[in-house]
Amino acid sequence: MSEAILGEHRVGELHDPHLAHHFDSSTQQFSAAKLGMWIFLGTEILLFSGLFCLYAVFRGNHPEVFHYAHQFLDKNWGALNTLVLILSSFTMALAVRSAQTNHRRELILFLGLTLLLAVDFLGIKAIEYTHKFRENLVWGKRFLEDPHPGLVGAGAVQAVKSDERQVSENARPSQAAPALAPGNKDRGRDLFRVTCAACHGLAGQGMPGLGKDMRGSSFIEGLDDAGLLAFIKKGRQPNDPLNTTGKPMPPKGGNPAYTDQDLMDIIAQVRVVAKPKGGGSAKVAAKPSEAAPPVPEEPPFEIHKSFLQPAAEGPVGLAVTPAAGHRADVPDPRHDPNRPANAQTFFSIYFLLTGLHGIHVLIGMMVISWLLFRALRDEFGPSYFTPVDLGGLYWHLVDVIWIFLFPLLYLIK
Amino acid sequence: MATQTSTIPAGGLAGARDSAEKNYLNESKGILSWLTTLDHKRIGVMYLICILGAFFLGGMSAVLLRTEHLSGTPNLMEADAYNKLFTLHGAVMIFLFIIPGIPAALGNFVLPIMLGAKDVAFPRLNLCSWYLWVIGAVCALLSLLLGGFDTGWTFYTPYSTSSPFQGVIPIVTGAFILGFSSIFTGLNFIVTIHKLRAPGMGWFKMPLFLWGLYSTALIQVLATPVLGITLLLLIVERALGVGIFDPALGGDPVLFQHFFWFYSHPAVYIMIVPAMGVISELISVFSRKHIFSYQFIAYSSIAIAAFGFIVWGHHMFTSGQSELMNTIFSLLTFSVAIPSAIKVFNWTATMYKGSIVFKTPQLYALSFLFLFGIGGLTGLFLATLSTDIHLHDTYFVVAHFHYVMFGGTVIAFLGALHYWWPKMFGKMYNENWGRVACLLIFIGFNMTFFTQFAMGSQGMPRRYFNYTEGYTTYHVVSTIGSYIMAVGFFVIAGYLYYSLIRGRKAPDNPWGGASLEWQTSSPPPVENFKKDPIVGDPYDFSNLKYDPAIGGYVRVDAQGVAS
Repeated sequence: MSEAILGEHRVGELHDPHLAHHFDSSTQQFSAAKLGMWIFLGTEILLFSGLFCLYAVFRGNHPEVFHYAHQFLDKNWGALNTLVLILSSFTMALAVRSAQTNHRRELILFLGLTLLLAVDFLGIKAIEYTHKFRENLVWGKRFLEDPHPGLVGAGAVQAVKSDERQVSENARPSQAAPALAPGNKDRGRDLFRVTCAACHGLAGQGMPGLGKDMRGSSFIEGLDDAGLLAFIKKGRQPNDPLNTTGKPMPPKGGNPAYTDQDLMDIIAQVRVVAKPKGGGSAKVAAKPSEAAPPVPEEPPFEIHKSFLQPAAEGPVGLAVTPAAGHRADVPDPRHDPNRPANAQTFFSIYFLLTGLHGIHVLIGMMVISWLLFRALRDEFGPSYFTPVDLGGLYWHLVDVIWIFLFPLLYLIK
Repeated sequence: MATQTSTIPAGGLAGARDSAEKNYLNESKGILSWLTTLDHKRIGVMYLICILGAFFLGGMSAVLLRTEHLSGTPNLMEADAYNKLFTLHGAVMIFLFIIPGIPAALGNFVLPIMLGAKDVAFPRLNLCSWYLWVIGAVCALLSLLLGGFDTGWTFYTPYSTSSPFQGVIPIVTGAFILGFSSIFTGLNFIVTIHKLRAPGMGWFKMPLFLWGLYSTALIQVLATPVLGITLLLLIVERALGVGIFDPALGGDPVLFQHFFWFYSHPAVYIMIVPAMGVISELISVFSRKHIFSYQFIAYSSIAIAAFGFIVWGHHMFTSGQSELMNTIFSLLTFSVAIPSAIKVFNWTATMYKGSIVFKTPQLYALSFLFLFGIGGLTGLFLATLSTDIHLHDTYFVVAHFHYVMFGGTVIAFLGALHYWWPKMFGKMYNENWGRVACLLIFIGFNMTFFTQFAMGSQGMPRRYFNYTEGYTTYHVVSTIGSYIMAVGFFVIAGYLYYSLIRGRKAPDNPWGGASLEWQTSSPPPVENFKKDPIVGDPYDFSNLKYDPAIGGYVRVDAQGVAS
C-alpha cells in the first residue's frame, strides 16, 4: 500500500519539473522561496545595520569629523553612481517582468543591461578608491602612518623624476653653519609640530594673536641658517621695537632644552614652511642654505605648496600637483592644522560601508550572470521565474543600501 | 540484518516486517550518499556526530582546566597555555556545540516530522549550513595550529586586536562562518514552519518544541547578522588597523562590547529556548498529562526572544556605562525572569497529579527544573546593580551561566537525545545505565559548580591561573565533581554506542508521545510518513495504550481497540 502512495507522489512530480518533492504545489514552493528570500534580505539589512549603527555612534559623538572629512568625497561621482544603480534596478525590474510575460529576448537584454550598469558602478567606485588611495585618505592606522609624506596628487611621479636631479646638485655640504650638520627637516618637522606649531600653526600659517604667518616671509628668506639660529636662540620680546605682534617669541621657541642641532633641524623645516608664495617648483626649496634668487610666480596649486619638502638630503622633496578630482578649495587633510582629531575615522567608516556594499554588488553580479546563463538556456517563463524574481529582490536591496549610503557619506551638511 | 532480526523480541512480528523495509538510514549506502544528502534526517545525524565531537573537545579542555586548579600553583601547564585552553573551551562549547546543539542536530531531525512535512523548505540550504559548520570548525582547528588564541570567547578589544597569538583571526573567521550556518538554519526553520505545516496543523496544534525552535530561529535570524558584522570589524581592525575599536586610533573599545553583546545576549536565548521546548515535551509525555497552559508556554518563548534583545547592557555594568543606562538595563533584565518563570510554573503544574514515569529523559527534565531554577535565580543577583559590582567577573558568574547553559541546555540536550534516540536510530538503549549516568552527571555537575558560587561570592576571580590558599578546598571539590561528570558522559557514550550494535529494536512509539514523529516508524522512512499522519492535539495521550508485546504504545479508538 505504501508503494502505491509513493507511486502517486512520483506521478504528481511529473507535472512540473521545477516542483521539489517536499512541496505540494508550485504556489506553495514559490511562496516559501519568496518568504525565505525576504528573511534573508532582512538579515542582510541587519548586517549593514551594524555599520549604520557605527556611523550613528561616531557621527553623534564627533559630528565635526564627519562635517570636515566628507568634503574629500566627490559628490559628482557619488551622484553618478546613484543614478547608475537606480537605472540598473529599473532594468532588473523589467527583466523580471519579461520573464513573467515570456519575453525571452527582452529578459536577456535587460539582464545584460543590469550587469553592464553594475560594472559601471564598480568602475566608478574604482576611480574614487584610486583617488583616495593616492591621496592616502584611507582608514585609521594607514591614514595616520602616512606612508608617502608629501606625496599628494597625480603629478607626483613626474615630480620625483625632476627632483632627483635637484638632489644630485645639492649633494654639496651646507655652508651656512659649518660647525653644525645641515638640519634634518624630517626630525625638524616633528620638533616643529611639538613646539613652534603651537603658535605658528602646523603649516606655519600663523595664528591670530599668537605667532606670525611664516609662509612667504621675507624676514626668514632674508636670513641665512646661522642668522635664523641666532634669532631663534634669542627670541623676540614684545618690548623689542621690531616686534610687530605684541606677543613674545620665546627663546628657542620656549624649550630651553633644544640644542643648536635641534634648532638647525627646526630651521630646515622652517625653510620648507616659509618658502615664498607661488614657489611651487622644487628649485627654491632645493637650496635652502643659499640665498636663492626670487623665483617667478607660478600660478597653480596653492594648497599643497607649503608642504613641499626641500631636497637637501635625499629624494624626499616632491613637487605637487593636485590629483584629478581633488578640489582645490579644500585643504590637504593630512597637514591641515584645522583638521579635527580622529578625522581618519570618517575614512574608516567610508571604506567599511562602501567596501561591504561593493562586495554585495559583486555577489549581485554573480547572481545576475548566473540568471543570464540560465535565461540563455531558456529556463524561465511564466510558470517558473522564481530565481529571476529573487535575484531581482537581492539587486534592489543592494540598490537601496547605496541610496542610504550616498547622502550619509557624500551629502552631509 | 541477521543481528537485527535476532534482537527482536518474541511477538514483534510487525517489527520484523518493518526492519526489512527501507528507512532513511539504509536507503542508500556509502559515505558519499551521506555527504551529498538533502534529507533533513541525515543532515541532523551528521550534525549530531559533529557537535558531539566538538563537545568532546570542549569537555576535555574543561577537565584539563579543572585539573590545573587542583592546586593554586602551576601543575599541568603554563599561564599562556591556561589562557588558551579556557578560551578554546568557551569558544568551542558556545559556537560549535551549544548554539547548533539542539536546533541544528535534533531540531533538524524532528522539526519536519513534527509538522507532518517531508523535509525542510530548503534542503540544499540545510546541507549548506552543515558544510558551513564544518568549515567553521576547520577554522577553529586551524587557529590552534597557528598558535591558538587567548582572548576569551568574547574577543574583547583592544586585547583581541593586540594579542600576540596568531590564532585570533582564524577563530574569529570561523565564528563568522558559523554565524552564517546558524542564520541559514534559522531561516530554513522559519519558512518551514510557516509554509510546510501538514493540513490541519494550526499554529496552536504544534508541539511546544516547535514554538521553541521558532523563537530560536527568530533570534538567530535577527541577532546573528550583527555578530557577523562585529566579527568582520574585528578582523579588519586586527588585520588593517581600521581604528573603530582601538582607542589609539580614535576608536571605542566599549562599542565592541555593545556590538558583541547585542548578539551574544540574545544568543544565550538561542541556547536556552530550544532546551525549554524540549522540556515542555518531556514533562508532558512522561507525566502522561496534557501540558498545562499551552498558550502561555508558547507565547513565553516569543516573549523571551523579544526581551532577550533589550538586555545586553547588563554585561557592561562595570565597563563605564552611564548610571542611567545601567539602571534601565538592570530593570529590563529582571523582565526576562517573567516568561522564564511562567514556563517553570507551568511545567510544575503539568506534573501535578500526573502519572510521572521516571524514564531517563524525564530524569533529565527534572534535573533541568532544579538546575535551571538555580541558574535563573542567581541571574537575579547579577542583574541587581549593587551585587553585580561585587560579583562581576568572579566564579559566581561562571557558576551562574554554567547552571543555565549546562544545567539548562546540555541537560535538556541529553534528555532530548535519549527521548528521540529510538526514533533516530531505531534502537533502545539500556534504561538502567541511562539512569545511572544521569545521576552521575547531576551529582558531578552540582559538585563542580555549586562550589563555584561559594568561591565566587568570596571573591575568586574568573579566568585566573592561580589562586591563594583559602580557595583550595573549593577548587579541589569542584575538580572532583568535574571528574564524576566526565565519567557520566563516558557511560552515556558507552551504552548509546552499545545500543547501536546490540540494542533492542525500538517500537514506533516507545514513550507514548502524541506528536507526529511517533506515528511513523523508527527509524522513519526517507519520505517521513508512509501514510499521512493524523493531526491532533500533541498533548492528548488518552487514546494511546501501552502494548507489552511490542514494548511501546499504540493508538486505540474510543472502544480501546487498536486502530
